[in-house]
Amino acid sequence: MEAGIWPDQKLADARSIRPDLRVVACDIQADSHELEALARWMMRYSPVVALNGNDSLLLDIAGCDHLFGGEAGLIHDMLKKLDELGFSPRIGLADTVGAAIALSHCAPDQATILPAGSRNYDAACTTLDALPVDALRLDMEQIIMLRRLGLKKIGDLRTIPRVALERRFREKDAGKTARKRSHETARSVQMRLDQLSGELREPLIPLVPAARFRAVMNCPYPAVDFVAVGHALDWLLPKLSTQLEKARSGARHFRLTGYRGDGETRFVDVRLSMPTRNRHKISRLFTDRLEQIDCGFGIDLFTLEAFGITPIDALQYDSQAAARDPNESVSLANFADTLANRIGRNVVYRLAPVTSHVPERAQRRACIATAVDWKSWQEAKPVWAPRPTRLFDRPEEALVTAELPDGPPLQFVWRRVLRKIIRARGPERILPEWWHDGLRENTGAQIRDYYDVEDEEGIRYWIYRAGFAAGDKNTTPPAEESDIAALAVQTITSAKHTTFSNWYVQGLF
Amino acid sequence: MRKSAGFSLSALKAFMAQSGRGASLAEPAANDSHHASDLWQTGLAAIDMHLPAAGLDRYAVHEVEPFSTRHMQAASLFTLGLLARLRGTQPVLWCHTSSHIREYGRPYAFGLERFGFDPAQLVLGDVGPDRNLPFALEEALKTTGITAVVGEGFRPDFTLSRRLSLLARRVKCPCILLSPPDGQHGSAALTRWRVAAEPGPKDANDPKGPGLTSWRVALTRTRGGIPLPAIDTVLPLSTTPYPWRITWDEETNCFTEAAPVSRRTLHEPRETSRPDRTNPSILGRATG
Repeated sequence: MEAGIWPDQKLADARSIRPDLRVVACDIQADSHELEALARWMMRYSPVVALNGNDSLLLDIAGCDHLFGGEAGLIHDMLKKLDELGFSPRIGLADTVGAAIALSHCAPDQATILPAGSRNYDAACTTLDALPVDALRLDMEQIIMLRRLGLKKIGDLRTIPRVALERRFREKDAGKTARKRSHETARSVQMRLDQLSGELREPLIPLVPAARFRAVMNCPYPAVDFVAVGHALDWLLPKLSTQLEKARSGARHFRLTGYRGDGETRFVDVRLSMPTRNRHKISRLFTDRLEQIDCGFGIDLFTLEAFGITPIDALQYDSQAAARDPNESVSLANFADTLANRIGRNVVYRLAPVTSHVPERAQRRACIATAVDWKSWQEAKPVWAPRPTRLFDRPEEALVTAELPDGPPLQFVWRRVLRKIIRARGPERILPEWWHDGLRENTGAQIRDYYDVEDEEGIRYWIYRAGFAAGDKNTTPPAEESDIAALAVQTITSAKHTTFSNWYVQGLF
Repeated sequence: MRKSAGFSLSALKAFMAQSGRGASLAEPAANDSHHASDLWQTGLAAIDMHLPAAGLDRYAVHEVEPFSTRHMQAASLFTLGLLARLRGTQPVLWCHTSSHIREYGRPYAFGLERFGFDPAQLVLGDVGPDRNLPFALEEALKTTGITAVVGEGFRPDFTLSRRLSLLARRVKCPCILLSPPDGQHGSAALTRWRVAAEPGPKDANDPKGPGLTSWRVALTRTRGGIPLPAIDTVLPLSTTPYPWRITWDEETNCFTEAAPVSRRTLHEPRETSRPDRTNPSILGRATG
């Protein structure tokens, strides 16, 4: 501005004014990424951080300032740290979002704190009144209009009575459109003024939904290794578990976040299958993973947050708990949690039955906490030929020699080894599920003939021959298309037409 | 001379006691104490007599391995048999590595009935790469209220199996390691079973179908038991009494000693290849 350069100026004009101008291409995407990264880092000051446009951040610091020695201390800390990171921030602190934005954008100083409370009302008003109307977040067009009318400061606008405002904007021989426009301008100016004074509430939309349960620790010295991170966790966990206990709640997801000096954040998550507030359990899951936090040049602030809050009743005090080593006795749920946090989610599971006769679909993985009802399933089970004890995730192809095209196999090559079959049982024909596999359209649905075979060495395989139910539709379409049962029966009876091509090994007995 | 030797020995003993190594050396002695209720028998007198105190120690690590990798499934079935002999109703934690899942498949609930195994009892842990297995097994052993832990994957080295056996002893939980044969490492396991599949005796319900589940089983390691000759390979259809020939009885969920099977009963001549000797007179009439 001082050099005679302003936004939206042509580059050639700017260059003619300042020949030594350094030009950098604008990368909006990178800027917004950078701003978001900064926003996450700013969560060290408050959990509620919102993005405002593409150039500023809004922080709700209610209840957070005392951690940094009051509002002035917080602003001071913020200025110092942002300056170290290479930013030149402008900060406004006020009771309303509108006032804070106005102060940060247009106040003469780099950081301004608006005096709060009723006693300081006049002082606050004087500060705000001195700001130009640009601070009101209005359109450029509207600002020019206000300037033209001689309303250059916010103070000028505030003195005009509400009703008179619209009249001021109206030109004498205004047409219908001009009248509408003046009405809109008056309304938006009024809205901005109300937001400034707090008469109109303006909610923040935080970047990350704030956790209800959160503990913060400001490190006296930056933490540079995971031992220090462990100490921080030991300090934070009792605080958080006390908070949870007071609320008679437990959480299923904990996050430890480290705010680094260089403006980066690193976090580590721990998830549980059952809600808890037992700090030994939580700490145990964290200990393996603390080294995943990259401390960089040092972490100066830690937060521990709890998500997935579920009310749990007070647990009976376990008098033996102190005597027992918490590392020695763990429940099945703890085991699942430990493996899930170390290896990956859903790695510990039970098997549950599914009402399907297709072998690979008949069982599914179930969470270990679910009660799997195999008893009632076994009562209702249809009569099946014996099933293998092992099933491959994908059936593996085999080269089979059979005596007849439809007969049992004589020998087969699987995994490059020839296996001679001495005894076989079968076939057991398993039809695809017409409601899933589109048997009616004959697309992709395979009929399988299963054999239970034993080779010379006594190894038993479960192999099948897959074939498309081709021919049925072309030669003899079922009388009624809707009658799937008829189609199924026909497929069984007209085995001659069924062309078999591939053999697979699906399981081992 | 003698005196100085005695002196140095006592000094060594004192040094070891001081440095705390005596305690770990004394541990095997503690391992060998048995209580009748803690025993885990195969139910076959011929085998149990070779085990210390006529049964397997419940709270220890046992290894099951196949004679060759293609018999892995047989070893897995033998493990199921041993688990069935525990007669526990609480969950069995079965940890397996992803390479084993790829090679040998996943346990299939509907086949487990043959071993009297309730699928609801089975808790599976896919531990991913091999390096996760030791950690998962230790965590599994620490879990309370379980019948047994099975670790399927690579063969652990001596240090690891020692850790596992000490832990199994402390937390009182049986542990079976199921792994492909690998002669490189020593092991702290109490027993090691080598298993191969064998064509079983005829199924009475379906004589032409595959036979009953059978194994050739050798006990290649028994700490504190009667030693048996080491066996590396088992010839198919050999008729020697050892390795033992065992069959699984699905009715009673027990191991039984299989009756010797002769080669002839297995390879019955097929109906079609048998020369037709019936009624030559008809043949003669037709040609004549």
